[in-house]
Amino acid sequence: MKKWSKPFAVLFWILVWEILARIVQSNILLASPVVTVKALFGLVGTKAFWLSIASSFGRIIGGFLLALIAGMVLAWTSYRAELVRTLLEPLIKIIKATPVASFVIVVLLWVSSSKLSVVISFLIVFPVVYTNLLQGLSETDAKLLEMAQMFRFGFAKRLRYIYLPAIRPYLLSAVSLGLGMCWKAGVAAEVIGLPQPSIGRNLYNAKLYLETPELFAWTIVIVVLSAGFEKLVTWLLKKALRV
Amino acid sequence: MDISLEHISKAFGEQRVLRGVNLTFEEGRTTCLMGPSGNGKTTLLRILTGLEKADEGKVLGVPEKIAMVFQEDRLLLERTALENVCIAAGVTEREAEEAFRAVGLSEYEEKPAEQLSGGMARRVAIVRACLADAELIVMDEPFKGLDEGTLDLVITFIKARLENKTVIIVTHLPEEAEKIGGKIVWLDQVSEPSLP
Repeated sequence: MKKWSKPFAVLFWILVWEILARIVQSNILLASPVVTVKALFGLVGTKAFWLSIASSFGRIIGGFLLALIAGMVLAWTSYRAELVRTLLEPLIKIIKATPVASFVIVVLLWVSSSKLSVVISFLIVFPVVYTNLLQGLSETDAKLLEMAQMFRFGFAKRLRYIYLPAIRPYLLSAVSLGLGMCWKAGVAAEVIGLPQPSIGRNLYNAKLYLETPELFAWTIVIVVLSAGFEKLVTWLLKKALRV
Repeated sequence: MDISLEHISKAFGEQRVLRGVNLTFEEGRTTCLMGPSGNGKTTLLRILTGLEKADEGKVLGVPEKIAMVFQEDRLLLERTALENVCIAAGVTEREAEEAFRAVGLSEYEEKPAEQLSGGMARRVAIVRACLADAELIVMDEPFKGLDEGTLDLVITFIKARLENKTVIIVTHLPEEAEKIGGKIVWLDQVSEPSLP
């Protein structure tokens, strides 16, 4: 039963979707699964589809990677220097609490729409990585660190044998959470900034011309990209961190 | 050079742990530091090794290279017993294997530290300190949890391995100190009366 429980749940919801679409009987209000899949196949065959995916992927994942690096560096700096931690605390709280829409509007004043999703993706992921890693570092076993001090471990040895095992669950959780969030926020930013080509622009056009099947098809593409990439990255990270 | 502790005092908040302690540990000799539980032996070792700062007093003659057996094993839990020794002590697997044989741990070399029993983990911690390139080896109740037979094995290993090195072993059991056979120092005998 367990082996089949996931596909069963997916099938169940597709069935619910199909039933609702039959009740509504309007592909503009609610495109049925069959119509959506047809629209998806229609898109897959075009060059613009792949260009949009590549372009959005590059921008959103670019922002994610920048946030990952900045989050790691600043979490380490904050862990080592109380002053940096104190200075960054209000900034992180503000970034966390500010709505994505506010960021989008302000950032659009500063950068071109093509760079908007990079910045938004960065701003959404950075606090997650920073906060998680700082917590992981703060909870590193102080007794093991004393042992490392006594046995004169260098930085590389401490990092590999003490810090990495300590931060591993926090890093994995930050990456998994961050990847999900960066796709949501990044595409939302593209819908507002309308960079060309992009998934966001296609979503916007689908909404503008009431092409609901395309809208649903693009949404499926985003979900698949987000979930697939998250699985790939967490798998790679798990392998890499088994130092 | 002998290690000297001069007028060492230490308090944690309101609690005074050490009061004007004066002690000397001879270079190249094993000293058993004894005294009842809770009279500051661990704090004294931590001050001596630089893990803690004394409120007052001086520590002289402590070499740079120190190895320590802590009260807890402090092993890298995801690593095997063998890796724990090789990583921390910086020795080859062959050297570690020989030492493991001497303390009866041969069969458990490849076991992750998190799966070792208390007595096994203790022996790994002892081997780690004994093999490290150190001029001073400090052991805080190293024999806790070892049965009689294992204790004899471990003490024989320590004596052979650390001959002519400066070793300080904290214990509160006279029979252990007797087996080790070094100089015995009682901490409560060298503490000065309570300060006002």
